[in-house]
Amino acid sequence: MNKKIIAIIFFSGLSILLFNSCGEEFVTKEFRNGVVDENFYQNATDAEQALTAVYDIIGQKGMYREAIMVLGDATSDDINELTGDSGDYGTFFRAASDYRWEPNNPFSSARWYDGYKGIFRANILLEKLPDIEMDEGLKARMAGEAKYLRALYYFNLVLAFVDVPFTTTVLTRDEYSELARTDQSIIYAQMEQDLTDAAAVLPIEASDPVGRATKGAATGLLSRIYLYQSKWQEAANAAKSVMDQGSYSLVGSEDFINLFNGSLENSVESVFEFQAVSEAPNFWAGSTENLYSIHWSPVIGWANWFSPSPGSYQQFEDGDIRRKASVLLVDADPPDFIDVDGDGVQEQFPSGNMNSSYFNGANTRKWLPEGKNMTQPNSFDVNYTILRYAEMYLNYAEAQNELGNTAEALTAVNMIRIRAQIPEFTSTNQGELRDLIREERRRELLFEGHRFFDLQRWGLAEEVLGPLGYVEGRHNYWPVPNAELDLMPNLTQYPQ
Amino acid sequence: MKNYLLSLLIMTGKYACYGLIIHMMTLSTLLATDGVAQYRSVKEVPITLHIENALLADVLQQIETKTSFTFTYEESDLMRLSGITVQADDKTLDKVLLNIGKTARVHFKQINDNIHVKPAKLQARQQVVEVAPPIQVSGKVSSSTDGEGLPGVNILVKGSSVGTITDVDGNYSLNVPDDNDILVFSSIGFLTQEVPINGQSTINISLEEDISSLEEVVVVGYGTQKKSNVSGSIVSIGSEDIAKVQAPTFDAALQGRVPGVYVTTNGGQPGGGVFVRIRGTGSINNSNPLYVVDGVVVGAGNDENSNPLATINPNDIETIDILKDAASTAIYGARAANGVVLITTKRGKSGKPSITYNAYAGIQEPVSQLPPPMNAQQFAENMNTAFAAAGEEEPFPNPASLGEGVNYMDEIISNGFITDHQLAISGGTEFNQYYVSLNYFDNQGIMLETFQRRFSVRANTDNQITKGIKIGNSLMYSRGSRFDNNAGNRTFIHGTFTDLYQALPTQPLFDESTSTGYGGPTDTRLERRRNVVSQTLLPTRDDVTDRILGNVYLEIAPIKGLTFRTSFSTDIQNNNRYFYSPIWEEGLLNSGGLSTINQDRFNSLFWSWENTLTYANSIGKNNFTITAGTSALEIEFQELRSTARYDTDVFTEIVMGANELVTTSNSEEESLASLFGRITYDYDNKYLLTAAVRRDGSSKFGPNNKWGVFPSFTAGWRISQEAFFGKGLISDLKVRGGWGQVGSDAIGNFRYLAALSTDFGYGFGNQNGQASLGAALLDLANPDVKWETVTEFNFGLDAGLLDDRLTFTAEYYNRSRTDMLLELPLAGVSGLNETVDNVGEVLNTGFEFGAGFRQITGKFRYDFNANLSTINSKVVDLGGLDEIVAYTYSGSGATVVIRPDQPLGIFLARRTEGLFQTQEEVDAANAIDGDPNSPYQNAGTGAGDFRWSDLNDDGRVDNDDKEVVGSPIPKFTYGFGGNLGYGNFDLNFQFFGVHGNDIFNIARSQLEASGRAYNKSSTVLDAWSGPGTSNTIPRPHLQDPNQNIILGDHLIEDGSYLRLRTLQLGYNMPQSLLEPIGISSARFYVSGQNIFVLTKFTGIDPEVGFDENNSAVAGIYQDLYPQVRTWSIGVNVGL
Repeated sequence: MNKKIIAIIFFSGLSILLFNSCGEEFVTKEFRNGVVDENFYQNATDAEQALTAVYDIIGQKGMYREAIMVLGDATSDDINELTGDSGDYGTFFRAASDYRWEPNNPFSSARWYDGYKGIFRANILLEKLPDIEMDEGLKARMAGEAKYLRALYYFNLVLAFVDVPFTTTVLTRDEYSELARTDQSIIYAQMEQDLTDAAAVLPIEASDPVGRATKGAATGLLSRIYLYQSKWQEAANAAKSVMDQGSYSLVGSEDFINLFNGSLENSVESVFEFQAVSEAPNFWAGSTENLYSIHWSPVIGWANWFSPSPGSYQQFEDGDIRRKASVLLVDADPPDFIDVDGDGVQEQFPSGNMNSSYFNGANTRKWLPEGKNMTQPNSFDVNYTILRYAEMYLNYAEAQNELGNTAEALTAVNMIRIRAQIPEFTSTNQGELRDLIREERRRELLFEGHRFFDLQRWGLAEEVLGPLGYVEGRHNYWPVPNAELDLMPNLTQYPQ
Repeated sequence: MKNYLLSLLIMTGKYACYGLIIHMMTLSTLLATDGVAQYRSVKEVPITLHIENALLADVLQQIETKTSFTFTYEESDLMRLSGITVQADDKTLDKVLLNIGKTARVHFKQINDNIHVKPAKLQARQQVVEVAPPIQVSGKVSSSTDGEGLPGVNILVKGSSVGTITDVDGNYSLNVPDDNDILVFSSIGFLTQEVPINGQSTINISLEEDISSLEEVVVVGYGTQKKSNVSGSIVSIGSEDIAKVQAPTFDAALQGRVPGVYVTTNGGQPGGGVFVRIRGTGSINNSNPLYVVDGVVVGAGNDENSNPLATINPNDIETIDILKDAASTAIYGARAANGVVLITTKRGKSGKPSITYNAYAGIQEPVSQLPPPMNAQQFAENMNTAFAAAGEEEPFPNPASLGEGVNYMDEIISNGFITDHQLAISGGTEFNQYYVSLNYFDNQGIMLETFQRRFSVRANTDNQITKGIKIGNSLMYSRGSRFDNNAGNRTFIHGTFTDLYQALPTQPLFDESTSTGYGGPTDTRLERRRNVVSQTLLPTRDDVTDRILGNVYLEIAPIKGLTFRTSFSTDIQNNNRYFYSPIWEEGLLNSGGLSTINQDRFNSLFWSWENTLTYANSIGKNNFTITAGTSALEIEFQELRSTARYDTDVFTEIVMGANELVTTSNSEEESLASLFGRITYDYDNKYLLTAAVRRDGSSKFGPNNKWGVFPSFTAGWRISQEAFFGKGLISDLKVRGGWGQVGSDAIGNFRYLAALSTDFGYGFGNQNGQASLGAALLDLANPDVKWETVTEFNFGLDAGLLDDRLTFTAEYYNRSRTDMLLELPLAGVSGLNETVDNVGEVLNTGFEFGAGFRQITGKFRYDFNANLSTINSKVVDLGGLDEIVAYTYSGSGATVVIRPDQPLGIFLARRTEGLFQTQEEVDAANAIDGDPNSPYQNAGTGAGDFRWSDLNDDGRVDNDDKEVVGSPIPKFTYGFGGNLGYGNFDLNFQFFGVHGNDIFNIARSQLEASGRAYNKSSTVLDAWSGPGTSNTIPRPHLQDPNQNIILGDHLIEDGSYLRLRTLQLGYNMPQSLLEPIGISSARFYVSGQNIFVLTKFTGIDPEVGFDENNSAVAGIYQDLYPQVRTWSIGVNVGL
């Protein structure tokens, strides 16, 4: 009998011991599936990973994966979206194209959220870097890259939303909520500072492996940012500085199409590119986004978005090699073949079946992969051009023309026309040349996310886009996501 | 300290090991006996035993383990006698005992398999070992009401442990030690009766029915309580009621049975998800109750598509006890916020083996007939109209030539089949009881290739190994496999049922020219849909789950009223999934020249160790029970997923050389440590009090808030027990009330830590398939995150009238959930997504009524039950937020939102004002804002398009023009049913109903969508084609310029329904026919499940279920596997 009592005391005692002395340990588990914040930012490897996460934003929906074409091109006279599709893509492509700009458009929302993710990651890295023990040269380079990316993301935010909340440091949850719109001039000043700092420390030569920001990328972006502020002399200087580097040149006419179909990536004409890789088989999951957009693949039955407007291909002069490289006329007779491999033989490209006969009879040819099975999502690993050397000539031409240096401008813009195999401009009339340079810019940078913002800064948006539904004062910028207004009492909506 | 603990653990391990060995031995003995109450004399039993200088107790224990005898003794001091030596080689037991008796001066007396040990009297002349003279008493126990023999009646010799039970006919036979003893006859539902033997050898008695049956006990968690004295809110369901519903899982059997318990399925797919909501949905987090099977907490999971409880065989369930209010569930503390469902499986009873065989087989068909998809000609005409409206060339020059085309719905849907076989054997001796069962269940669904199969075995035993010590186990193994073709995953693109509507009737089913022989899309103008038959039949699949669930317990009762119980439980699940699809090319679609193999493994291990100490006693009229306990549990989960693709069909397993190979793994751990206690007190069964408290520590929370304490109190007054309460019409009356707090830890692990995600790679070097690792914070940590707390008041009244023939229960509850665990969005400018915080409050209140009436004796027997529950849900506060978006429908924005002062999860949409009938109406609308050029809705809006309300009066319709258009929460739910018996016939039925809820029929926006080049429901044949032709179905237009697809209140439908859940007609074969063939009972029945549903809802079924990711999302109808009607025949046979 006593044995039973002893057993009970034993078991009870054991239980109570377990729960009072080991209880805390028992109910504390070690996190094994990753790294916890306080153990990070310790060494060069951590810094490297943190920097990679800043780059990651380039490939996100809100930046150079999708929103760049929706916000920059679908909103312009180059795209006439007619799809009746429902769902995340068709509906909102079309809403952007038709100027039904609502705060919940997933593309503008993604621009906002992804942009700030990139900025946060750059800010925290720039704060932590000084205390990490590592090679000082490497540390300086990484700081330069982070600053370059921060400027790139702020630039994209300002384009879409104009005066946006601004910070270069990591804040608390409450401090973030208190932020309000900051005048874009202050943000542009910071971009200039960041890019100048970056250009000072970044190397001229391409990184190995390729893809990191270089001195040319920083200076080139600086040139565009000056251009957007009508700081003509600075824009010209920056563009000239890139040209003087001597490390870039235009590819040959026969290779023009290959800049955009994945067969000539990181070429001598490339200043900065989104390094798209085919990676995630479960591309719908959206966790790894380094995948150029399958979503407007013309071969997916229900995904016939992104229809070029007639104007987008009618603007090309006869013989302009860029027409076929940029737009595919689906039902053209004779078929709209092109010489992709430079052997002089015109052939079908892309070779797969197209499904874009519903609307407009045209599809973008830029960004369709060469030699890939287009029913496979991971075939769409075509790099997207963020900064191309051709733009430097256009920036330089525009800036010099505005400064009155028409001869300089003419030489630069003709570099582009020579490559396009069309006659050179001859006019030195500043006004005439201004129009010509602008037209040339539209043709050269077609579907590269520039058109709407160029029209905007030239003050031409109302004139050109008004007939399509654009209303000045209402569609200059996008409304911010509604949820942000709920969370940030000092934030105002556009238009007010 | 650590060393001490270690040694304790080692000792525990040894004890557990001994326990197991002893257990195994007794179990095998048990199985070896033929179960008939025959026994052998000590003189016949040989034994080999060598033991030196031992305690008497040890020696006797050794003998117990080697023989079927059990020693009983009253004076424990005897057992401390030492110096006993036995050297026996195959000697008979009586000789061995004789020697022991001489040394120890004790006297042995054998009765059946028991040997009584007493101190030997001093005049030790008489035999030391005595075999009692076989005084045999036999007879028959019958019911006083109908004179039928009563099986399973316990018969005990008063003041001893000698006893037996009656067989199926009520007969018994018992050897008694003394002809002056008294026999005690007892059985649940009957009044206990004592009969002195007085030398009689035949005693036939009839037992009086205990009409009140209030002495039923209910399982209350770590114990039981007399039903009459329960003051919390607890409802029990017995096995008879569970057996009436032919469902693969027990939770479906609860539908409509219990007030306050709302059961809904997510479609009729075999083994599909079942949601149980006790007193409504109280949180946006996991709102499933806690399920405890024989003391083992089983994860109900939160998977809308499949049901983890489907592996548990409902035939094995004896009772289900549902703890509804926080006062009752507080003993389960941190995980009891959504109520607790306690499942007790069947156990053996002493007596000769009872063998039962239950089986049924049936066919299944869809309950509702739906509008078919359009046939080929209709589809072609519809497309021609749609293309022409968009200014495109008509794709079908001659629709009439296409005829019917292929009806893919008919190709996929046919009759289903269901069968279940259960063989169970139970019985045992007075000291060892067993229940063993075998089950096979097979359900082929009504959709091609959808099925659920289950094989399970169960062994439950209870063994009294010596006086006051019991060991036993509950153990189940099951193997289940299922496939539902993704039905019920509620996604829109490729929802299985939606696919059937959208499949092109012009696309041939078979086509010789493709690589698979199945037809595929060939027309680039139409949307390319995969051939659904090929998609279903081409791949090879497997989805098998093995599960071992059970526990082993040890119970020690050293003194009267005190019981110590320790039990170790485990639940091991292994799920293997396999998918192989060969390379295929069908028309314009192909697999990219690659085959696909998926191999996924999910393993989970749950263990818990629980110890309870219970002391029950009565002092005068004060009755009390004190329970104290500890519990520790741990859950480990691992998954491994691999996908490989090859450019050949040669490989069906993953080998080297894949064109693509992706493997991911994940593992998680979780633990919970608890201390709990409860005091139940009553004075003279009149005044009832209960207090309970539990303290839980969870690994889910950080050091700041790891531990939580959950108290509760209840009180009750049985007015009918008072002297002043005369025996009148009202036979029983009780009022009761309670207050309690419980918790919920329904968030993921490690939410208190700031973990970096490494999903942020970038493709430096532009190498396909590779990316550099990038790491960043995604969310903001909250180290202070803690439990959700539910605080609940409950008031109830139980009444019995007409000698308890009519019973009535009414309850009111007020359940408030505070500190709700919400994933709060952070301002996007922070660059982070969200943080978890304890904010907000949701209040659920409601009334519950239950009533029953029964007449269960006599030739005509009947009972009826009815219940009704109201739910009033209100979001009180969202921690300062104005709104949480629970569900967003693409293209329409927020669709289900949570707002303060509203019910949980209301619908938000546009208001629809019918269709524009003429262009003039459109023009007039465009001019409302004074500018006829700015569209009222969209630029291309024309006659035949929806007209929406301009709710904010700004002259145009956009996404701001939305308002609350409905709520998924029923005003009340109800159920009623009954059993009728006449002679050998019995009839059972059960209805279930829901009233006053809305369903958002989102599916219709797609199945009647005008802007897509796929097939649709034949209801679009009535689409607008000119002024006055339709005001509900818009014109076909390929580009849908008006975006008619946007959700409006025209899709809100009344979700009320009444369902005949089950109807069963049975016939019991007369005894006279069965006896000659050695069968003790046989019943045949025909049964219909889900025979009809009365509803105005136009979709497949009004039972649309919940969203697994967010409990607030309910009443959304997207894609659903049809509910099935089952007709079956069955048999119950007892041997």
